[in-house]
Amino acid sequence: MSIREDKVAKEIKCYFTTYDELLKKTFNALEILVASEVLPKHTVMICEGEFVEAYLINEELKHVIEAILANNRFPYSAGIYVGRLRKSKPYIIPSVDFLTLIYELKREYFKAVKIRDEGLKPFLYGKDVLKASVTECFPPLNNGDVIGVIGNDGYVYGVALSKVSDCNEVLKLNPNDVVATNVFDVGWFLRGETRVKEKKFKV
Amino acid sequence: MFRTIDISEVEDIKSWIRERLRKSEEVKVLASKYGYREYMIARYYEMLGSWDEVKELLNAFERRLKHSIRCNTLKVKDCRHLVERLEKLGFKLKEVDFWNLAYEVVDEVRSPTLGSTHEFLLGMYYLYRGKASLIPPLILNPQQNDKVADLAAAPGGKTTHLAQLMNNKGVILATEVGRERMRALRNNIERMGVRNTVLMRVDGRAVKYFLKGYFNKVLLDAPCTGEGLIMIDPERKIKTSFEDLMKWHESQVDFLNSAIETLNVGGYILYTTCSIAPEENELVIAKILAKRDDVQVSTLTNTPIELSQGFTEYFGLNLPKDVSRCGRIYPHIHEMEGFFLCLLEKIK
Repeated sequence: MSIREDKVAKEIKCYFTTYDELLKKTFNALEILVASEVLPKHTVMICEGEFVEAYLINEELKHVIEAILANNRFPYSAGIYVGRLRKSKPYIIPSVDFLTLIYELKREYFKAVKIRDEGLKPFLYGKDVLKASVTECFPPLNNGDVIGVIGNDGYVYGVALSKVSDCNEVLKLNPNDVVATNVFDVGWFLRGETRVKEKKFKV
Repeated sequence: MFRTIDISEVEDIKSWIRERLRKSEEVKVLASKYGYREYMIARYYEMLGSWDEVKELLNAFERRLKHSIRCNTLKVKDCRHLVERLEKLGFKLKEVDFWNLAYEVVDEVRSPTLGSTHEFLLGMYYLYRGKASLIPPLILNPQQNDKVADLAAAPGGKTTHLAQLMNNKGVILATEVGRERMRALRNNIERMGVRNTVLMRVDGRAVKYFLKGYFNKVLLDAPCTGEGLIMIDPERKIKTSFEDLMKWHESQVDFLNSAIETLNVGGYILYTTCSIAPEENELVIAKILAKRDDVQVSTLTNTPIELSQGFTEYFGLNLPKDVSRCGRIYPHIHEMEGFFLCLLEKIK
């Protein structure tokens, strides 16, 4: 009985690195800085293939991954998925799970907007965040950064590309102005958008 | 009456069974009435021993299963909060009788569907087509410091359940070879907030090459014909020929044999299928026991329901008596999809 092997193996490279290196790659992204404070013992793993993706790995998982890498294979994903790294701005597209975790450990939101239920539904259909939907803004926001989108219930529902440079700017917008464009939301997979193509993201 | 013989003395099991498949009028009538291949009906008689019980099984396969959900305590601190949110949407839930963190959905609304609520998208629950899939992780009963492998993991119901039982501690290696199935698995892992898992797109049989003897618990929910899922997918009444069934059998023996290599001495492997076919279940276990002397069938502990026993005789083939320690779930007895579970311990 032949064993099906993964032919993609040769095209992907995974390696362990440090928070310092990840901070360098993301131009000191605040979420990475926070992660280094709240999860200091984790190791950073970066996998480079069609996309560059970062993970946080604890010692137990590291042992398994080392055995995989030593056999010239690679993990598909592991531990805490931090997000996708990019060479141009935004340098990082953080994952929903990563933001959920660091907001929880930091016990506060940052780089995020909270939206009302009326705005959440369209956001989960891939629409952008409009000024009329925003109920709270958590600094710092920078134009071109990817920020967290939080529902009224406190859960992270997705990430979006900020179109404003700070929270005060939001106040000056008209109700139908875009505060942030949808990059990824938790309804993405449900909509059948399983092709993990960057061009599908609005960045 | 056929004579009986020890299974290890039969070289060609396929021919042995085929020669003994009953071709009676009852078989033809029931196959035609319920829309099955005749060989399946003949096997059900051999398994159950009476036409009345065969009819009970066939009628149970005609009934639709209610959805079940598992409250994900990795995301939800108090499951009553989830129940309240879903009840506000119009769903009616009833606690599953064998595990208090799972609920049978007794009444559903048209919109949103259970697979599109905000609560689902946030990973507050996992949705099951039937509740039997909840049972394997409960039997394997992983602890927080365990090293666990789930060797055919997609779409991730059992992997995420194992992670929940381990409270996101310890290690799970979850493998899946199919590209699309891996995407579904990864999505479920992230959605459910699972963080103690390494996903790997590889045939689970290859894990022995790099993590031999590493795990103390292995779940092999083996790829199978799905003969226990007829109420969910009626196509399965005619999908699998007897020839194909025996190919599944060979592949399952190979898979289980490889999976055992990843286990450390004293470790346990839970072999499961969503099939009621003895060819995919007891006969696989019997072949493994004949092949190797380093595993033994363990009594199923932590069983949340009373399971039916595994067969020790099938079409005149005598199987090792320990195979009776394996467990079966029948639609007409347990009111769930058909399932098979067998726990093996690696003893040297």
